[in-house]
Amino acid sequence: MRFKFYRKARYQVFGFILVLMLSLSFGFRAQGQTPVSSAAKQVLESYLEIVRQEKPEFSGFDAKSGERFYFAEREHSRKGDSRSCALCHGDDPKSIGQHFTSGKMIKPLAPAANIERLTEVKKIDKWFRRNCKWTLERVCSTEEKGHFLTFLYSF
Amino acid sequence: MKNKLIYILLSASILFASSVGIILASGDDERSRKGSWLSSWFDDDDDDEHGEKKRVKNNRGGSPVLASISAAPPEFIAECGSCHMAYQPELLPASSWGVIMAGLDNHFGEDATSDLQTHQQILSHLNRFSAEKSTSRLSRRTIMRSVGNRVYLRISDIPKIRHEHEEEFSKSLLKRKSIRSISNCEACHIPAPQGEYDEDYVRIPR
Repeated sequence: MRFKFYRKARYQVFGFILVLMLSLSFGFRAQGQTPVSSAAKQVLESYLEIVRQEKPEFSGFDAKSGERFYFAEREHSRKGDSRSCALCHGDDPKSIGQHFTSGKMIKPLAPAANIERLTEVKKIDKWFRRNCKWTLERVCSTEEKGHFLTFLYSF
Repeated sequence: MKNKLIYILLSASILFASSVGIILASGDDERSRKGSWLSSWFDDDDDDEHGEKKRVKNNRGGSPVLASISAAPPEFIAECGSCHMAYQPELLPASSWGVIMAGLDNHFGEDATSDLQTHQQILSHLNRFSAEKSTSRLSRRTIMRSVGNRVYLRISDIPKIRHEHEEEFSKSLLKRKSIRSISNCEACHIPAPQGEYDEDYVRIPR
């Protein structure tokens, strides 16, 4: 009898937690945004600090600028082909992309579709370094990176 | 008289014994035992067994799956496997891997450099399992025999591998979005990431 009671109580606790988590997730969904990971939050805060040092009047990163950056096409100086973020990551960051040269499938870039994205500072830095070099033939500015991350979190 | 009787008894017993032997030999038990014993040498009727035998013959001198798979460090999969399939070390000799790893700042047009520790880990994995150290048929017969003294930087440039895929490429399969590139092994060789390149597991996508 006692055992049964404990089991019931445990289920009630589980149920409560489940309802809490569901309501929380619906709350986030109602905002139309995926919660920003701690790594991305850390990166975005440091970016904002850097940009504000140069432009004290800077109002903050916005998804619209990030979207323009994502789709902007640039011609490669030697190869002559036109490159953009969307070329490999797809027109919809929530869907699967494909590597331009190797043909390998790339998991969705938007954290809304791929929970593992933007959860490691080291990885964020690494892929900005690599892919800015390939796409733009230069490093990305801090401002560009901030807008880009904000755009990815707008889904 | 006595001798005659002994002869008759003897011949009768021999007759009896041999007839018992014949009956036993033609009995069901005896035949089935003999049958199974024979089949392991001569019988080709059993499809399953035949197929198995053929497979064993084809894979002589090594497992069909490249052995490095179980020893691949996570850094190898993460660094080498994010832009393209993490090609197994057995697919190129150590000389090729050395040149590739020395030029990662321009790795087929991309910056694929990593920190020193990760770099060393990947290089030692590649060296440990490179083609000349492998016992697999693919490494020994197809790759090492075809490579000779040349240093290839693309697996698809190895003459034997190029030759084996000639027919597919002439059909302009590479234009299909599902395949796209000669370096996309896993598009057709479904278990390629697990180190299995047998023709039996090839499925060409639409």
